[in-house]
Amino acid sequence: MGAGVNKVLLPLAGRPILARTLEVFEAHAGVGRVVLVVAGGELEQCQALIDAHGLRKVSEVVAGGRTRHESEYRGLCALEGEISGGTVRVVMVHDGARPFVIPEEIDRLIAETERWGAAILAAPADDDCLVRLSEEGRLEQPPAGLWAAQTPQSFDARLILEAHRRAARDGFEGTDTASVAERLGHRVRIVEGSPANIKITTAEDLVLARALLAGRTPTALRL
Amino acid sequence: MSVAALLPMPAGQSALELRIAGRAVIDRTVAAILAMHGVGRVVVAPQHPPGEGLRALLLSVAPGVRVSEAHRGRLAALRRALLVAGPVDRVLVHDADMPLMATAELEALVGLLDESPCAVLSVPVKSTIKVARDGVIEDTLPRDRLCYVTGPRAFRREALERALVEQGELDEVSAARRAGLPVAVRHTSAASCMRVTGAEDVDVAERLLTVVPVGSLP
Repeated sequence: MGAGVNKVLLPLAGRPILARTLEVFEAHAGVGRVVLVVAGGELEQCQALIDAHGLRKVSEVVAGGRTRHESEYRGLCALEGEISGGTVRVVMVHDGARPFVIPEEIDRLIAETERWGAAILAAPADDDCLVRLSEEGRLEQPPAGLWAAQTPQSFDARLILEAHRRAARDGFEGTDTASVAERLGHRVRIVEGSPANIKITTAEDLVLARALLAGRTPTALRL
Repeated sequence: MSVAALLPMPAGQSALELRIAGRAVIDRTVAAILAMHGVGRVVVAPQHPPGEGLRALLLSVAPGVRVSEAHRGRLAALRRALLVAGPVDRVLVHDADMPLMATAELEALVGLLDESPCAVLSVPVKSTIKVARDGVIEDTLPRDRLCYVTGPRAFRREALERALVEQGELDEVSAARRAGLPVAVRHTSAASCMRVTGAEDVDVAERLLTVVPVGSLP
């Protein structure tokens, strides 16, 4: 999808996907600041994007790590002082490639996090077509109660910073932020998100994103 | 090796007449099948009698296509269509509303029958999948072992016959699983498996035709 170009920098109906994503948080009254974590080679390009789109809540652009997990930890470390001092109480981790999150979903995540300590957006994934491959290559029915995790994933700031520190000590790499908290026994709540909150990672996702912007809901969103 | 293709067709399939870049959905699906190596017969397996318009369209896009007698229930309709298909070694079951599926993918799927009595095309799961109860996450499932079995499927004839006698199953893959048959899996792209079920899908399907190498992984 655009050889050599980070997908979040590609335009979606004239504006970069990343700018669209950041604008959602820029406009949300409950969000105080944004730490953007990007590949080391894209720091200047992303800073230029922030300036061009007047994104004032982005306080820092941080070079990410080798993995998503590492990048997340670096972003948290950039907030370490404020988290320890109590001026940042809730941290939301979000994919720059998900521009369709809506303010109401962020509201609900903040409320659930303040009540329970951890909450993520997720869409129902119980589907007759979803199967699990056994070690022997047989198709099995997965358990019921399945959810496809999305972002934002939202946490009590001290909780997630401590969980990441312990993950670093233990050499644990989570597939998502929630799994870092889950392994320590923290209860993570589900907030139902819209299937439209897609992560744009392929050319076909970009086609779906254009349809969503045009107000259509194609059947292909099912997957 | 002889291959027959069965196209299950539930009621309300007017979307098959929609045009994607100038060609009807059913035309594209059938054309991809007919371009496969070794395919002899294509049989539509309706669960309700198709309307005159669709029947005429079917016969115009591929005069050799047979339409079996309608039978309620997917598995019953497939049993009927298999009789019409005649003595073939292998059977491809492909939903008619997937016009973006490429011939190469279908051939690769049928090729898996060299090693396994059943084979399916599947779409890998992109999201992290959680198991939750009462709104609280209980587990995170390993994503690399999860997939959506939503695309075409292929069977050695005797395996399909064995699966189709299973009672209480809604589709032939779960019937094959219940019958204890091993199923080989090949991943494909979500775009390849896109279903066109209404006018709102036409624009997306047309765009996917132009920007995605349909039939290959993204």
